[in-house]
Amino acid sequence: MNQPLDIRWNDLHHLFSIVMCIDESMTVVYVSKTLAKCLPAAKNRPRLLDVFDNVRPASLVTFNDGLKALDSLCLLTAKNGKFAIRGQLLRMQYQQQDVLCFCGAPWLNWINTNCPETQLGFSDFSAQDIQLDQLLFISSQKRMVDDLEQLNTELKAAKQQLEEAQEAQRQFFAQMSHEIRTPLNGVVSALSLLDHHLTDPKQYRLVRLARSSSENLMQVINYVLNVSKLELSPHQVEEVFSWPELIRSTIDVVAAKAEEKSLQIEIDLSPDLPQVCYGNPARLRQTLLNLCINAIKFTDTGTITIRAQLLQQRQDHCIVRLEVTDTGMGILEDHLAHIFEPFWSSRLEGMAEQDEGTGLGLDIVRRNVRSMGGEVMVKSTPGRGTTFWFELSVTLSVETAALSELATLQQQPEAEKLTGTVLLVDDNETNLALGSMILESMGLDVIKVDGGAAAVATARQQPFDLVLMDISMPDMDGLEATRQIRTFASSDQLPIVALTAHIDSKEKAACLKIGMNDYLSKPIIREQLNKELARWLAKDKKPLSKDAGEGVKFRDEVLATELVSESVINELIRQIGRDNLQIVIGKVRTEASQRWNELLTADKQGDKDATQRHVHSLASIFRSVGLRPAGDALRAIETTLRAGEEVPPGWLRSLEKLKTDSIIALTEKMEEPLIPSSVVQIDTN
Amino acid sequence: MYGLINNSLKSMIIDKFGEQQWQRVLSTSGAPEDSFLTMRSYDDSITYSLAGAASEVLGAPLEACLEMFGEYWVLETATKSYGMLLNAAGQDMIEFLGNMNGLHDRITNTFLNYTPPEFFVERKEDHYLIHYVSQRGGLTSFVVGLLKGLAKRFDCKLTILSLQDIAVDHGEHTVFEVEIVAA
Repeated sequence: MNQPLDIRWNDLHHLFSIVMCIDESMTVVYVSKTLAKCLPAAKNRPRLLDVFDNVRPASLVTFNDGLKALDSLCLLTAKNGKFAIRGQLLRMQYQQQDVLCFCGAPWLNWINTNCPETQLGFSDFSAQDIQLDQLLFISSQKRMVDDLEQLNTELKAAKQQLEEAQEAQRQFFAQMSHEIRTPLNGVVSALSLLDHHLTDPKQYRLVRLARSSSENLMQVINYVLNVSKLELSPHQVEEVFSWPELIRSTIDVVAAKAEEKSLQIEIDLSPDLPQVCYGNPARLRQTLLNLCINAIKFTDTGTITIRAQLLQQRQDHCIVRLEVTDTGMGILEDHLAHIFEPFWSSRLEGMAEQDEGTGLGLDIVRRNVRSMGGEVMVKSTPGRGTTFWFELSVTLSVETAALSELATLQQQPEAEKLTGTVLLVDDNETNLALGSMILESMGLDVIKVDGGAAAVATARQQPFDLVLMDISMPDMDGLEATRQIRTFASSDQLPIVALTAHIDSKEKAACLKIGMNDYLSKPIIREQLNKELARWLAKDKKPLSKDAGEGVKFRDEVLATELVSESVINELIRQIGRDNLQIVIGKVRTEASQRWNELLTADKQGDKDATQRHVHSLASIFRSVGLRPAGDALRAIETTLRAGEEVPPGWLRSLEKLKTDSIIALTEKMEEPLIPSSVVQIDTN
Repeated sequence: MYGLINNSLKSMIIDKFGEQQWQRVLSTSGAPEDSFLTMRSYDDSITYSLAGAASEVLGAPLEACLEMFGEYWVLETATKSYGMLLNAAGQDMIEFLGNMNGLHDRITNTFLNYTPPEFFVERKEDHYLIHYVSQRGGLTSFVVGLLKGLAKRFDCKLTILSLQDIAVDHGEHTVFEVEIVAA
């Protein structure tokens, strides 16, 4: 143990720049050149601990301490704080005496940290010493960290720039959307009004071409804005929606077009489909709408079916398959691979140029479906029809359980007759007459009032089971009336359901926020009304007639291309009878004439609020009795007025003719023999 | 080459000619990246194409660009990032040249898979012979710039009396005959 090493003196100086011999009295008896240069005091045979402090080993007082530490790293710092050494102790013979020989190098790390002014050169380190390499490595690592920090800063700046650019783009598109659509809406509306009043075939063709071109342009613009919107915010905020309402509101948009082509629209909702789900109804509606528009465009006779099926239901979500099927011309097999490509459009024989479209609808469909996590599929048989479908996973709404129970009740073979007293609120005599007749035919007692203030007063005086409340009324609107009623009757005590001609998501939210229980769209569809009433009214168990107790599967109206919707007239006759309808139509004539005069006065006086109110009222009257073209034209004007935009010049003149023609057509229609109802019920059992 | 070299070239062009010129050099070179990490190894062709593009964009001969880069390397890059190591390598030009090879030994140990050049210095009566041996070709002008940069660092006058290429199988071996006079 600890025997002296046989090593040549010169070899030591090659391997180590610091060599120092310490004798048994712990006196420094030899120092190498570098140590002598950097710590001159060491040359004068000092005792070791007079010039150095030992960092490692912890004890180096005696020669024996040194012998015990031969296998350890030895770190010594100069007492003057200007130098330090690192190395290892060896036991050697120096001048015929036992010594501890320190072999090592300057302790670079300590020196750089504590006395960086100490100048060291390459010659102060032996070639094998890695301390200079470490210095290089540490410097390079520091540069590397600097590089990464620089990159990080650049990336942060680039990310911020990108986000700012996206925000600017989002704002730009929002602005564009408004700036482009507003005048274009004006063009489309004006052409739509003009369309009805042209007798010269050449002018008619030209206006029709202008109209279809402007509608195509609108589609292209909507496409560009939609794609941009999808790309900028692929995940929109989700909300609660009802499948039947979603599909009906989609059908509402295309019904007139289907009516023009005498196509049937059929809705087929599977009975187990959850009534209410949580998802993106705007995107779903746009998707179904595009598919329906396509289906109608490529179908000349037959039926368009919108089908929603529940494929799977779990605790908190379900998988729904949505289908749009037509009985149209179909798609050739080699075209199927291209139909989702933007701007791809197959010109088919016998198809009018203006019906060609932009070839953008299906691209939007695919983008929409993908953004909701699905994939749109298609199958088609040329000459027989086409089916588009997609499957989506949607979250179940908390309301679903309760409504599922209701749906189960509704599917019972024995329908339930409703009982109760309903307060019907509307400023429009036609709607009051029509509404009360329908409600009474369902077995309900009805009290009619013609404004919000009267509704509040009446509701305060006597108990009701339900209030059906119009929204737009001149003296006090439905929202304010509801707010006042809620001060003395809670939503449990007195349900209030909005009954309004046009309802958007903002208006729906306003209705619910003010304390209404639900909302329904006009014109009144008996099935919808029946379902809504069933939610709020007490029922006796007397069976209703079979047609009134339909399930969730039914076919919609057959739509005709007339000033008067035959299907609506037939449906009204079915609901309230021909005689009652004659009475209602008498009221329509009187009230339309009166409102029209008020409209002319308001327009002449520049009273925009009154103008908008009378336009709304007229639209509501006309749509209630199936005068759709007139109702739609008025609604377009109302939308323009509500947006604060300019209406097309000469709109009153154009509308007056349409109004007069429509009322004449309605009167003539009532003189015709009764036509069987075109609403086809499907027995769910 | 390591990103250190490419980054230094980028810094030189931005410092001396501005960001816009660097973007033009980058675009002309066709280099696939616009940022380099010091300790990451990049293909030599990127460095050569950047140097070639700098020559094209700046309208100067490649040799002049490389020489400028050599000077910049010593006076800016190495001084800023490796000042302590440069100090250790020598307090004057002669000492530094003597440690040049040792310095590159250290570099070899740190930047793995990198083959740095070798330097040998022969002291003659009134001048020095500096042998530059590299596995790469075409960088003699860069070494000229390095020597000029060192002369500025140590505040001495350097005269390159001659350059002699010695034939080798691979890369290049150049002997610089230099005269060094302390200022």
